Amino acid sequence: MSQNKTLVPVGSSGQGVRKLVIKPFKVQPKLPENFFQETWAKLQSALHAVYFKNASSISKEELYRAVEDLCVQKFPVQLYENLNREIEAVSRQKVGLLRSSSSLDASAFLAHVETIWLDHCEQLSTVRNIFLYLDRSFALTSSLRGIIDLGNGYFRSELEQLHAGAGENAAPSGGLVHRIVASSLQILHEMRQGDLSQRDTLGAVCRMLATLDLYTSRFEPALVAESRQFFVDEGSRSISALSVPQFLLLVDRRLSETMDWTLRHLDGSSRRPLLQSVEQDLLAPHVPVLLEGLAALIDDAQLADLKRLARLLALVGRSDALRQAFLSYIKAVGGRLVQQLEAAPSSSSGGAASAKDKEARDLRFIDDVLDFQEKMERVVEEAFKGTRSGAGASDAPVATSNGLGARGLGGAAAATDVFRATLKSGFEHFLNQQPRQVAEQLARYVDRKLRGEQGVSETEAEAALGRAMLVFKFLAEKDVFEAFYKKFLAKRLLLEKSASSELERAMLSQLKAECGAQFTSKLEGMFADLDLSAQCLALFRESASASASADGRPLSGDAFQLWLLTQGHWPQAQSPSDDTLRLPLELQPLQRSFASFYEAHFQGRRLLWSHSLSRAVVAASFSPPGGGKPRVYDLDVTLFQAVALRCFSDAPDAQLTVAQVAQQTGLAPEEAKLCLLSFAAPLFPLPKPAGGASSSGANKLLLRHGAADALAFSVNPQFESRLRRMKVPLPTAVRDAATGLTTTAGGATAAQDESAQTLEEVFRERVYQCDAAIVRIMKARKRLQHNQLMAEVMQQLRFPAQNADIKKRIEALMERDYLERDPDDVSFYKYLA
Amino acid sequence: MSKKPSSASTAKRSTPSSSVSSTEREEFFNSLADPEDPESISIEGLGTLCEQLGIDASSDIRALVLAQKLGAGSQPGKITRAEFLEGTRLMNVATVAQIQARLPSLDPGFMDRTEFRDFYRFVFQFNREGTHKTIEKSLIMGLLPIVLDSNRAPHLDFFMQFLEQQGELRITLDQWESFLQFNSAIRLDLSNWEEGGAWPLLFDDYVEWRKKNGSA
Repeated sequence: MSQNKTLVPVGSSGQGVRKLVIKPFKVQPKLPENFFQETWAKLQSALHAVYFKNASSISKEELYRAVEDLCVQKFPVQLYENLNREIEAVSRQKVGLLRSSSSLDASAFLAHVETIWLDHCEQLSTVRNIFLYLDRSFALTSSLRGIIDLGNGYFRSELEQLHAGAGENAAPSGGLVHRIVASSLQILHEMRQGDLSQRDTLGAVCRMLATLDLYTSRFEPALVAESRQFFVDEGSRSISALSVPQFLLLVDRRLSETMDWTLRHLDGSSRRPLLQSVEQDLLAPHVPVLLEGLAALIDDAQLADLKRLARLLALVGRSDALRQAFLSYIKAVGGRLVQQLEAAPSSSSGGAASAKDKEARDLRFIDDVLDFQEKMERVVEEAFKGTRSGAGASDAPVATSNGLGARGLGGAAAATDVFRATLKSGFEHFLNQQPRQVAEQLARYVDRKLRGEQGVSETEAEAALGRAMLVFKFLAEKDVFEAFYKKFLAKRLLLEKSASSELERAMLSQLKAECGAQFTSKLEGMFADLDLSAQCLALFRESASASASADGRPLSGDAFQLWLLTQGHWPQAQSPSDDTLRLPLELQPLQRSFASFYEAHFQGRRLLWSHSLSRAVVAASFSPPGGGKPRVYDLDVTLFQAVALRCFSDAPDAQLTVAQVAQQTGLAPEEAKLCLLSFAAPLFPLPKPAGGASSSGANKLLLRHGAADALAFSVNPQFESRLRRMKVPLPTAVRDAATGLTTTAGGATAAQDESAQTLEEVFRERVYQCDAAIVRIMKARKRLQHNQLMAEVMQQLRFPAQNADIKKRIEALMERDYLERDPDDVSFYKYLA
Repeated sequence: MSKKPSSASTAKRSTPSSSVSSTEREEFFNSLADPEDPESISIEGLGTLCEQLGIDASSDIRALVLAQKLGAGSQPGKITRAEFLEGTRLMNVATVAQIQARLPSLDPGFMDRTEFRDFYRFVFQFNREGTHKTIEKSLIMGLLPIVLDSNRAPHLDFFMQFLEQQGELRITLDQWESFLQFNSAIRLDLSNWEEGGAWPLLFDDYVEWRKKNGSA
């Protein structure tokens, strides 16, 4: 009103202005005396309607207003107290209903709890809506408990109440909570047994407990304790009752149901302790038993089970134990494979049969190793790949959340590496239990592949060679392989047995990568020799045809083939007969003429003849005793065989002893005997003679007479064959028909002789290598401490050397004045220039 | 190539007032020279000398010390004229009697470590046969107790037993010399023995033998 002055225009005063005056009540309007009581009565009846689920005659809106009125009219304290009492009474009464349900079983009891709880929640929520004004404007600002809190608080305290109704002894000691917990655990137990019917009840009860703040304090400790006991029991029961895969499945199922239940029924806070319990109580104690089952799983290539095993073991940080078990498995299985190589055939019982068995086994050996390797590789790749090693991975099932994903991946790669390394060390271990036999078998395997096998394409052979190099990498004594390889290569080249020069070259380059150029340079020299031989032979043929007539006899230079081998490039293939052998007259001019040709072309080079690998085709003619047309055959034989056979050409009807043949030919007696026996052996099987006809075989070239020192041979005039050209095999061991024994020097087979001889060469070479390494190092260092020298030598050597072996060589070099011991310090050596 | 022992006697180059003449020494040499090779004194010649001196050439260490002092070294089992003349000049002797007077000084007990080492090496070289570089075990087993005693070589007794039990064996100069070093380096109870050391293999075997026999 103070604005009047400015608002009223000048001159307007004086006119009768009407004023509006508002006056306060003279007497404050008073609430009816019994306003609170009446309103409360109205509210109370509404409350009861809510609690007893009767329809209220008064609308919620009106009730709300009533509450608001009471609060505005300064009755909130009273109202709050009344409501409080009301809620307390109702809550207690409702919870009290549970006490009388002692006869119910767990699920019915919990269902009852659930119903009451849900009622309680719903009603409490309604009440709170009615009393919302009180709740928000008064309770909140006066730091009093809200209505929901109030209700839940009474509910909770009533649950916790011990023996509330003294007369009723329904609730066991520990109150209703105790019974709820026990019943819940019973439901959980049933769920674990597979009965999931009550899981929603359990869920509701758990949510109730969580809401009432009873979950962590009362339920979870019991839950964890109970679960641990359960898993401990289940573990010890199941580990003997179930197979390993079944047990693994069980663990897996327990883990995933625990995950599931802690998401949906139990509170999330229980996830970690429960998962841990599965791992530590169900799984961890039985890891040793599970690992015992590893062998069977790998044997049967149960990749899925293996993968599960690896994943579960990683969870409990036992990947290392798995790795160890895997290693032992490889060593054991591989060890058995290798052992078969060693097992010599028992000489007494069925010697021949078991020797055959062994031969077949040896043939299979590398294939077996490669198959085994491939299988193990698959196990590593497919089963152990995702394994994260390292402990503390108990949260693995949720690893996809947050940043664990990436870390897990890196871990997996590392685990594969770890298992790869295990695989490698396992193979190295067992293969090198018999390093020499393995190296030899590998070389033979490669030889077979390079000679070509029936039904094996070049691509397949190449793949096989590539895989053979895998085994090669595991070998500790690579030099043994190299020696055998070289020997077999020489044979393939000289006898023209190699299936493909491309394969040979491919293999050579693989070896170059693995063994270094130092080794392959000699092999390359072998190939170069062959090319050179061809050129040289062409030159010789030109000059030979020019000088052919000079001798009066035509030189069959065209039917003549030779290899010029650089000494040192080729393995020694000398025979004691090389120097003494007298070539048949037919061949001598050829030999002479080539020798003079060679000397003329390559001055200063020495030509040595190595006959033991030579072959010849001999025309043999047999005159039937009753006259008639002589039968002529071409015999493909070794030069030694040809020379031995040639003796009978001069005396077709004579019996010649081994000694006579040896003397005539210059062959060593053993060699001569072997050749002669080869001709006296049946060349092909004869059809069964019809009714005891003449048994003297028409399938033998020579007939044998006498035995032992008097052993003699004569031409078999009856010899008859459908084939004109035949190869007469020079058996590695000729079975002596008279004694039934195999006759070769020392009773060993030729293959064994060859192995022994090759190994001897390897050992000689090793001594040389060792000496060379020592001298090389000392020459560079002049003065060196013993241990340093040993270490450097070890590093240079390509075979596993024993300390004592090297020391022996050092001492030998000292004796030969290459080195001396430092007089001032005996642990030092000095190089003597 | 065997080294000439770095002459131990050079240190004692005392020139007594009455020095013997080279003619006297030549005559002394001639009296001992091998009738078949007058340019050197053989083992037999040395034996005669020892006899005259009254010492047992086959068991008295002084015989070996004397041989070294008289200049032996370039060849096993003999002393050349030049060596002898130089040796006697350094010793300043030309007669048996003069050597006799010096006998007490020939005890190796007087030698220091280096001198003894040279002497010890000399013993091996002097006892080699012709062009052989090694010496048969039996001869070694004869020499060791003469040259060494349990003072210088505590391992001697065990080592002799060990050698006894070995088969055919020839000992190299390195093994011979190492034995002396071994004695000063390795305690008798082998407590400071280390595997994988530089000792010749023979000593690895010896240690193993000792351990197997429970004597270590």
